[in-house]
Amino acid sequence: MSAVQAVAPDKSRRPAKTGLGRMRLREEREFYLFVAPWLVGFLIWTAGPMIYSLYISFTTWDVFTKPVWVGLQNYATLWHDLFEPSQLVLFSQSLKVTTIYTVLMVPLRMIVNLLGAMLLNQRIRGMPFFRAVFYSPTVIPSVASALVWTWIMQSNGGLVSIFLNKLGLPNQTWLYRSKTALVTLVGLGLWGFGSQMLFFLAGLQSIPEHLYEAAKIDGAGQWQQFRYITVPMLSPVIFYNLVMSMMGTFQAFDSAFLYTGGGPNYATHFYVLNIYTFGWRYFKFGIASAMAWVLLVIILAMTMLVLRSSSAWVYYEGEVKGR
Amino acid sequence: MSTTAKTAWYEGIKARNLLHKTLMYVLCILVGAFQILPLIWMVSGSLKTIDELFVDPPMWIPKSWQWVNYDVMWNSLRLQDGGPAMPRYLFNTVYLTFIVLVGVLLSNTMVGFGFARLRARGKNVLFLILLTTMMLPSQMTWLSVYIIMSRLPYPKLFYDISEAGKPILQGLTGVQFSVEGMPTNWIDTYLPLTVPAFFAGAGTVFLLRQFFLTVPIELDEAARIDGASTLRIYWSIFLPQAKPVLASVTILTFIGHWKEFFGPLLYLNTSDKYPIALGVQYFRGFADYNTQWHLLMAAGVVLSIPPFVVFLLFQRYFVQGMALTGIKG
Repeated sequence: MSAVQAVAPDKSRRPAKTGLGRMRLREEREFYLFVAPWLVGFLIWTAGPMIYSLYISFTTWDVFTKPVWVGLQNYATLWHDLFEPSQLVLFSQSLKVTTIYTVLMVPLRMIVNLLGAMLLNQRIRGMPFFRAVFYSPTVIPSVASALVWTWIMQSNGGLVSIFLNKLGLPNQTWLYRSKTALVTLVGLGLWGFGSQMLFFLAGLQSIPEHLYEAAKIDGAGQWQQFRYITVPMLSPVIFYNLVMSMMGTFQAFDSAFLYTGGGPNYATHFYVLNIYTFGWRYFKFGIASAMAWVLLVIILAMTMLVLRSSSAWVYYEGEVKGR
Repeated sequence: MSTTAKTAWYEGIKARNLLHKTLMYVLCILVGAFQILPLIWMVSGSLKTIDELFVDPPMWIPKSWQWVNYDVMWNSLRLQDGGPAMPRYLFNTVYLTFIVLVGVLLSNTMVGFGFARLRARGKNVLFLILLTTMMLPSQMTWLSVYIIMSRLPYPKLFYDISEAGKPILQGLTGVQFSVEGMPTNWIDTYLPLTVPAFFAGAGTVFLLRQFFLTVPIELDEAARIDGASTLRIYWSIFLPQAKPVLASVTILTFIGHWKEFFGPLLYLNTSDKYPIALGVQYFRGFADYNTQWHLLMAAGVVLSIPPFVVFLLFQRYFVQGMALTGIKG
């Protein structure tokens, strides 16, 4: 480290009595220089565009001509669609589909990842190998895994159909029927473990062993140990995973885009896919921006709700209750 | 307790432990098989003849391995000038990922260092804003950022540099580049995909700041007394200290960007410019859907191998990075 090598102290740079303020100022200037990439980026890629999109949401605009101010008309269209669903807006349809998907996916994914973490927490040989195997689907690009799963799910000659034929059942067409497509996407989404499992694993490993020993002495069975020690001790992790997973799942796009294209009959037309469709297919940037703002409100509301409820069920060690 | 009773009790515990362990092994193998078999099915499919694709019972190991599938896939999709498309897509991804990596590493370490080590008025407010932006859904800004990109003029300097660089890249990689006119705005260029990487992202900044906070303050005080400038301290003390974290960030960014198809889908119109992930998706539209799965699987394998190998080699950093940022599902 060349910088630390002894260099004769430069007396002129030593802070004089009045120099202290100047040094502070210099440090301040340096701080703003160092964070400039983020600060400028925040202004031009986040804050500016957000205000801009709020403005666009009050207009109709196809990008090629000038935007026309229409006031709240876009929001009114969305509001009306809640009561009279229309194929031209698809707001309530996409909201419904996304809500069902989120309600199914978030708890299921959490259970799967928790079980995976509990498996990896066992003290058996070959764990690093199993850990690598458990993670591998996560690193495979979704475009590639969608290819192989589409083939497996293909109704005529796909692996699943072959298996069903063995049981004397006909070919499945789950991805191609509007009643089953969404649930099938949920099932496909459960393949592979994510960072959730990692957090659960870290959480499990930090639970002190003596709690389980005490419970065993008191005669607690496996389920009771899980219910009264593991779950409460994991509740901060569950809380974090719940918030992140809810926000992520509500913004789902990939699976619909890669597997079903939103069909059949809009059964998997996710909210974000709808924004994409209105923006880049129909060039209706006004109403698409309004949808984006509604999405922000929904996500904020969901997060606030979970935050509010957290004091009732999240247990933090060292936290003093009743203050 | 008599000795025999003690032994029996001990044996009972041992037997239960053994049962438990066996059960856990079986579960691990079952779950692991569910994770890995689709991937093996992909590799196996990529090496089959067209007749072997749909045989019943399913054939896991092809009779003779059809490496020719890769050759056919590699050359079947064509660029506008007639050259093979897949090598070009692969090159595009490598190029994009490299530039993004440079941007991510430079900008995030600078900002993380600033937040961790420099004092200033307004710092706490800014940090709060940074944390808040982590919660914002990115869809909020897609539309308006797209419009901004479509209004930004393409810098002539960039155009000159990339035109000058083309012969060198062509010599190094063997990939053909056609000469195009200068684009009028940023749409259908790589700038919307690369430039934002130079502006630091909240999650990575947070991760690096947390790490820089753990570097002992004596280090930079000593350097300061020796007359090192802040930039010097950042470059010669903090960056070398942060190597393991930077490795994690690099691995995660690499794997994350290799699979990226959404940004390119929004911004690129010319298929010649596609990165491999979008290129494979595009190829899917060309292959005859019900019959040519062997070619599609070959494309899937080519797309998956680089991130998979990087994951296997640098698993520790990958897991660490995921644990620290939690940016993946």
